[in-house]
Amino acid sequence: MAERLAGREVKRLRSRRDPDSAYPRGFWHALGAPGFAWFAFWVLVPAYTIVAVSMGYVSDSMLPVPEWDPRYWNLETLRMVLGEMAPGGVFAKVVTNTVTYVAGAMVLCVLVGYPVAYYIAKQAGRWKVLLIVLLTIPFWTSYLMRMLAWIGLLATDGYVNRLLMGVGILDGPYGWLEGQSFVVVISLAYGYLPYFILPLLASLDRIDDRLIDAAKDLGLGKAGAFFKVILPLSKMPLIAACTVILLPMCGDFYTTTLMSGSPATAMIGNQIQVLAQGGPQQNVGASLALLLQLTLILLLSFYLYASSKSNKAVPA
Amino acid sequence: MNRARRGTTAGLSRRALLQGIGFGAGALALSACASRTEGSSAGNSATQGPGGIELARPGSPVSLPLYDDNQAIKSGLNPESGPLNVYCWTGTIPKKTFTSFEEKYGVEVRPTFYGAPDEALPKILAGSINFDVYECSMEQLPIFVANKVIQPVNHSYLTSYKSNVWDSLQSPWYDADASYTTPGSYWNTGIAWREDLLPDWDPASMDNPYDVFWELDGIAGKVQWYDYVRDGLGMMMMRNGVSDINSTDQADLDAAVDAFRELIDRTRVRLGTDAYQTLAQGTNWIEQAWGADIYFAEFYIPKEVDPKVLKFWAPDEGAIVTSDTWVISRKAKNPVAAHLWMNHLLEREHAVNMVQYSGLITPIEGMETENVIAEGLMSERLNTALPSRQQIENGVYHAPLSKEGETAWQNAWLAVKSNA
Repeated sequence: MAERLAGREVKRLRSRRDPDSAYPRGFWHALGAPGFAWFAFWVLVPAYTIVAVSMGYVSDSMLPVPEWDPRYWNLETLRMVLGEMAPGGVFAKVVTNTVTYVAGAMVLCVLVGYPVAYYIAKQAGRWKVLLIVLLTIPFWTSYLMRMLAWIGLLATDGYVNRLLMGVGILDGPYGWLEGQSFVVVISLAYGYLPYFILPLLASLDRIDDRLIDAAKDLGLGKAGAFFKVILPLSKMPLIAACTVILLPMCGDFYTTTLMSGSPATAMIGNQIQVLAQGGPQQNVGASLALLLQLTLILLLSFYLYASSKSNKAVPA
Repeated sequence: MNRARRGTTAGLSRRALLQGIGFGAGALALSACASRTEGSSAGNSATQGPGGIELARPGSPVSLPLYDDNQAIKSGLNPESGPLNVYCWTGTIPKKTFTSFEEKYGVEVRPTFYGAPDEALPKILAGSINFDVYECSMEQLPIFVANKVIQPVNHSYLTSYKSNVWDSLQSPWYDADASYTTPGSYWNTGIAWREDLLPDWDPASMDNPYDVFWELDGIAGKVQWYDYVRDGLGMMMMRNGVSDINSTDQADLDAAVDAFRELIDRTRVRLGTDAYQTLAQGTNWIEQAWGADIYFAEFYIPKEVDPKVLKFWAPDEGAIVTSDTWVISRKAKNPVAAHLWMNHLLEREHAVNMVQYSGLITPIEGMETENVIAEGLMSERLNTALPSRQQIENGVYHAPLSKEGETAWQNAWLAVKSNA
């Protein structure tokens, strides 16, 4: 009997140690290779092209001449663009606008999105599935269409003004779309909120409820359990969700174009659009895009590093 | 569990991060150790464009160079079977024109549209768009000629050119021998406003009506200018009293940027390309606009508003006038059909379709604005919105710039768009 039990134990341990033994050698590498090749071609090659255009020059015929060989990269354009981002430079205002608007939109997303995600993940009970389905509704239409719908709502004779005038809050129509910074911030937050909530929800859902129970058993009240257990465990999901929306928001140009259109609310993406579309300074546009990418890569690296550190801190 | 944490998903160490950053830094350091001379043929004067082509102006026409290795097609050839690939502005060519060409010549037309010539230029130069015939802006001509992207035309196929086109355009200033081009349609740029919303303003009451944006009160948030560098800065120069809207004088450009800054502060001016829509809907009360916008606006105006309230002003002399031209790709697979297409566009049938479809004037005999209105082809109230022959013949035009000039203009536009 003891021998038979020992045999079972040995068999189970062997199975646990080598779960992939059922697959041929190299199976997983082969499975991942096409995806990696696709990624390399369609993501890395264009990214390198931006670098090469930035480090090259534009011919007299307005054709960008990329410099593919790193030995001959010309950093002058990059340096110049960096200088123009400093106070007083031509890009200083759009950098300030971009940082301010993105930060404002992220704060709004956290304030609105976190309670929603937390409620659905932990408190919604039998309504959870329905609420998740409702959350995906914005994805049924494109971002652009949703912004265009907002234009209809916020227009001078739109429903928002009609409602506010109807209840007596406004005496006359308010110019929401007349170059207002706060409208750009609200629009960014509105546009990217679904992209914020869904990954956050998925992460919050994975927080072990037993940890919350244990906190309560150990004498913490509801608020204490939230602030001492749930909030610390939400840190990485929040950073991840912020990262998801940060990257596209920083390069966004159409939200401010549609919701304001005024140069007073221009963002970096608008300048990249002007420069990269053609003309004599496509290398400047590429440099601007490259600097934006590098900044975001640094932020992403911080996230990956912090995430890695956080995972290591979790006991095995 | 342990295995997973040691794997790639959770294994980004400080060392790996620094290695990644180090790789980038290494590449940059490598670049500092080597040098290569740029292939740019720098040294263009302010009067020369790409390939050393003299920059044409209405007062100083330029014959575009012809090259031995880029000849026009021979005379007397039969049209190819097509399909003819036409690359043109969105919404300028009426469907009737496509179908009438197909019926007349038995060649299918396949149009591809661009939103603005600036968008089309890099695609064409990169060879990423396959076209036989292209609706080309005047400013781009030297670039395409110098790069041998377009081929000269053979006038034996363009019978309507000589017989129909106005005398003043038989040898146009931008292509003095009409070696590469046929004329496209014309429009004017000026000020559009809603008379019902600004009942007290009359351009005739001002010495310089362009000043209205800086002088009229109560228009904050109700103003729009074109989001095109040449239109935007060009009219700003006119407002500043600079009659040469192709000036690359830094002082002129700086003054235009300063005027824009003032306008942004005063009115939060929007930059856009939908003047016809925003004016019709009352989002804006006064705008920089193309005359054709007034025509389009009629389709967007609320039913309860009379289209007569849509007004447009441009000066009779020295108005900003714009036109496109038609050119044939050097690599055209259907060059004969392309010639026939260009000829087709210079016939009255198309010119009538064109003005009724897009509010643009084709410069052929009988299609002058007064005739168009007298014949009832267009409403009387569009009289000022359609460019007159006088405006076309005595107008100011966006002309080609040198690379240095383009750079100066783009920098000025960036300063405007950044509100810097």
